[in-house]
Parts: sequence; structure tokens; C-alpha cells
Amino acid sequence: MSDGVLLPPSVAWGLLAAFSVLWVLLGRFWGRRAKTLDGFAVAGRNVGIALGAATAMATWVTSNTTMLAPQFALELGVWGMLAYSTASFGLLLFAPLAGRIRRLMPRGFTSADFVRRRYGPHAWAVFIGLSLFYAMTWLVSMAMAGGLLIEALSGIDYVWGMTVILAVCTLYTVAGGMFAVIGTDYVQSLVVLVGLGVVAVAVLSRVSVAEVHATLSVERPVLLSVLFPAALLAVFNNLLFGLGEIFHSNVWWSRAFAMREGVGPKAYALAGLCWLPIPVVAGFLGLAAPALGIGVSRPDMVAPVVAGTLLGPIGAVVVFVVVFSSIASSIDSLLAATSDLVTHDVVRRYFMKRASEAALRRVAARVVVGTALLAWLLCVPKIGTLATVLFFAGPMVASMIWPIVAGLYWRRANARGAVAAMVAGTVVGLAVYFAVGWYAASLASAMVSAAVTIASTSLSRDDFDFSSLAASEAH
Amino acid sequence: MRYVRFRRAIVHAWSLVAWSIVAVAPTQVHATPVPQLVDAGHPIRSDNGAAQLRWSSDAAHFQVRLRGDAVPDRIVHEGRMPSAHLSGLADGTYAVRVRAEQDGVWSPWSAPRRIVVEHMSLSLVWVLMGFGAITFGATAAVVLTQARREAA
Repeated sequence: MSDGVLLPPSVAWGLLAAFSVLWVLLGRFWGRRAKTLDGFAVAGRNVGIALGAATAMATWVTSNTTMLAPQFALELGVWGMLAYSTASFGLLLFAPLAGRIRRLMPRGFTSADFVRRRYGPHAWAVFIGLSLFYAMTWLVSMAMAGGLLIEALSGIDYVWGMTVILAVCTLYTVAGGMFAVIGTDYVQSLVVLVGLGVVAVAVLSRVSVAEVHATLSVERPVLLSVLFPAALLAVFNNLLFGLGEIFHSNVWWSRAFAMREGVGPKAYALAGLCWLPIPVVAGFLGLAAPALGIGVSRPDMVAPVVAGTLLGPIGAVVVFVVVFSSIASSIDSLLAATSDLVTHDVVRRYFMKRASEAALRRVAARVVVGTALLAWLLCVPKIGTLATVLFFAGPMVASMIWPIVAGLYWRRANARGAVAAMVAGTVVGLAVYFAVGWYAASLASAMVSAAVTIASTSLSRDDFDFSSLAASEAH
Repeated sequence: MRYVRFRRAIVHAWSLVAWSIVAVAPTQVHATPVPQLVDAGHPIRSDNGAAQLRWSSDAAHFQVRLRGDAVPDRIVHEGRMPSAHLSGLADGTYAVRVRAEQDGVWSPWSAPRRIVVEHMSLSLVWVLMGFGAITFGATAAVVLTQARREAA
């Protein structure tokens, strides 16, 4: 079997063009109400449970789920596949936080805004630095995935594929902001679910679970081992990485602000439950590759190669559409959330204090374009695999779990503790990343950050008034 | 008579040319260059049983062969790209070789590259997993108890 080009370039260009037009038209249609910053950034704060759950699930079904979960299974076996699905705990545990966030800051915009009001400017500076770095690594890994996928399936040059995907997402996010993002996410989540179902059924019709097990037992027994050291470490590492990503990132906070009062907890819990089986389905493609005799050149390409090889051109088309949709649903969310952070927390605060809503809406659109351009520049050199790009940010996001949780619930949580927790967690986590490996880095970071936060809160005499968060929004 | 000798000489010359073409042609048409494994002199060290291989070759069909201390010699990869990803290797030392195919003719196997797999110690893993379980458990406990308290 082979891993060569599976889709003629003319067909791939046709699909790219068709879906690009579809997303842009839908984005413009849904985004026609995004006239002010409130509409552009938080969709008028009136999103219901169906759209809320769909956008949360679609955003979390990233290219990483459809392409990295199979890589986890191929490299770390059954434990790796299950480790990836633990990322759903992030959505499930964010459900109660979403309700709390909406109640504390009914007119809030960003997660950085919360950190500044709760902990002050020093913690805000550290938080926004880490948060923007993470957003950029996620964006870069996603755009890279798009370019790699298109190249693997059709032979279209990586840079062209990556450029088209970034450009399309930028176009409809600029046109419609959060309205466009949530609307397209809804359609994209349906496309992803149906497509993954089709691929899973097709794979299982060609090879049974028993055959996969028998092949792995002989050829790669470690992938089935209960005591596979790196895979065991990946379980808690991925779990804590997922918590860190969701708890701190403005992608998830902006949706909590966008949902109607009382909707957030239900929508996030539903999204978490619906997302849980997706990495298992996608991951099975990675485990099936050896049983199907499919040679894998790059681990992050295993899913498209398996589906395309098994199902021929139709499979390649299905994978192309599924991954294009999942990538678009995440890139648009990241562009919108990063634009909110920069526009609201940097531009409005320091450069345009008296700007009108319409002027800020224009700035937000320009920030989306600038963010996409920066991501494009970082994507061109094609640094590392998807996993290495994304997991480098793991220690940073894991260090923010406890400052966020403590800041939301504990009156005695304080600024010095939050700064120390984020800095110590990041430093120790990065040291472990280089000394041990990515599969222990987030774990070490979260652990150190938790210890520092708990210790500093225990020693503190602060008594924060949570009602001040809502009150200070009026200013 | 001279004409006959001349004709014989021409026939001999053509025969020589034809034989030399026949003798040389197979090696010129069918020889497939041996792929060169990148960094073949340096062993790959892996602590998770996975290894990424790359090689240089103009061919478009390759096979990778693996031999280990306790693993029989076998083909573990076949593909069209000049790279291969191996995974699920147990502790031990392995040797991988690659060969290329062009026009139905396989090249000889390349010089081997060693892969040394040494998985992490399980005692370290249990300690880290214990810390991970405590950290996650504490996070979940704080979020859920506070949420319940708030709802009450």
C-alpha cells in the first residue's frame, strides 16, 4: 500500500473553491448583524443552547482531533487514543465555570479582562502574554494542518493550501465576527460528525477490530500494552493540557459571554459529552493502519492517508471536507477570540479610550487580518510536526488553570500568588518539556501552579469582593 | 575481393557495437540507486518506541526492513514518500534498512541505521501519574463543590 497523492489537484482546487464560497457566504449572511463591537465580539449575548453546544463542540473538534488523535493512537496505542478523549473533561468542567463567568461579568468581553479586574495589571501582563502565545501556536498548528492535508491528499503545494484556508477564514470572520463564527461552526460540526461516521463505517467494513488487535499483537505489541510508560503519562498530561486550554482561553470565555443567561453550563456539558467519542473514532484510523498494511510517512498524516487509501477518491473527498471544516471551525474561533483580546484589552485600553463602538468594530476586523498575516508568516517555514508545535504551549496553558479557578471562586486568591503560579508553572513545565518530553510537561506545570496557588491563598489575608467585577464594567 | 573484405569488416564492426550495447545496456537501464538514510551514522534514541526515518532518493516506491534483538527480520513499511514512521517498538536495539524500486527493479538494501529504544522507567511514571491524579482531582473537586455551593 502507499501514501501517495489520492486526489487529482483539479478536484482538490474545486473543493477548496466550493467550500470557500460556502463559508464566506454563510459567514456574511449570519454576520450581517455584527455592526457594533458587542455584536462582533459576543454575538449580541443571546446565543441559545443548540448553537451554543454546536459551536463549543465544533471549535473543540479541531484539526488536532481529526489528525492528532490518530497520531496519538499510532504512536501511543490504545492509551493514547483514550488520552486524547480526556480532553472532553475540559468542556465538562468548564460548564459550571461558564455559568459563574456569565453571572460575575454579565457585560464582560474577554478572559484577560477578568484577570485584570481580579488580579491587577501585573497578572494581566503575564496572562495576556501566555494567552496570545498559545493562541498563535494553536492557529499555526491548525493552518499547518490544512496545508499539510491538502498537500498529502492532492499534491497541491503546502503554502498554497495553507494560504487559501487562512484567507477564507479571515474573510468571513472579518465580515461577521462572532455571529459568523457561531453560525458556520454549527454547519461545520454537522459536516464533521457525518463525515467521521462515514469514514469509521468504511474502515470497519474493510478491517475488523479483532484483525486490528491481532496485527498489533504481533507487529506492534507495545501499542496494546497496559503498561506503556509514555502513553500512561500522556493520559494526565493531555487531561491537564485540555483543562488549561479551555479554562484560560478567550475562545471559550467569549462563548460564555455570548450565550444567554443560564445556557452556558448546559451547552458546555452537552458539547463535552458529544465530543467524548470523536477522538476514539478518529484514533481508530491510526490503530488500523498497520493491519491494513498502509505505510505512514508522517504520523500527523495517518488519518487522511488511511481514509484516502481505503476509500479511494471518495474517501479522499470526505476526509478533505471533514478536515477542512474542522480546521475552519477552529481558525475562525481563534481569529475572533484573539481579535477580541487585542482590541478590547490592548487597543481600547491604551490607544483608543474614547473610540466609538463602530470604530472599535473596524479595529477588530483589522486585528483579525493582522493576526492571520502573522500566522501565515509563521506557517511558511513548516516548523516541526503538529504535535511539537501545539504541545510546546502545554506548560503555559496548564500554568493558568489554578489562577483562573481560584480567581473565580476564592476571595483570598491574590495577585502575587497568581503571577507566581503562572511563572513557576511555565518555567518548570518547559524544563520538563526539554528534559523529559512533551508528555509530562503540562502535568508538571499544572502541579507546580496548583501548589503555588494553594499556598499563596492559604497565607493571604485578601478578601476580594466579587460584585466589584460586575460593577467595574460600567466604567 | 576487396569489396567482400570491406563488407566483412563492416559486419564485424557492427557486431562489436551491437554486443557492447547489449553488454552495457542492462546496467544502464535497470540499476536503481541505493537510497541514503539521513544521519545513518547516528542511532535514533527513542523513549516511546517511535522513530521517524528519512532518506534521499529519486525513486517513488520504497520498502523499509527492520531487524531487532528479539524481532525477526521483516518489512515494516512500504510507501511512495522518502520517509517512514515506525511505532510500537519494545525496549531493544534495532537496525533499519531501506531500498528503492524503479521500473520494477529493486536497489540493494541501504546501509543500516540503528534505533535504540529505552522506554521510561515505570516507577517514574507512577509517581508522575500520582501527581497528575491529585492535581486533576483537586481541580475537579474545587470546581464541582464551589458550583454546588453556589447553586444551593
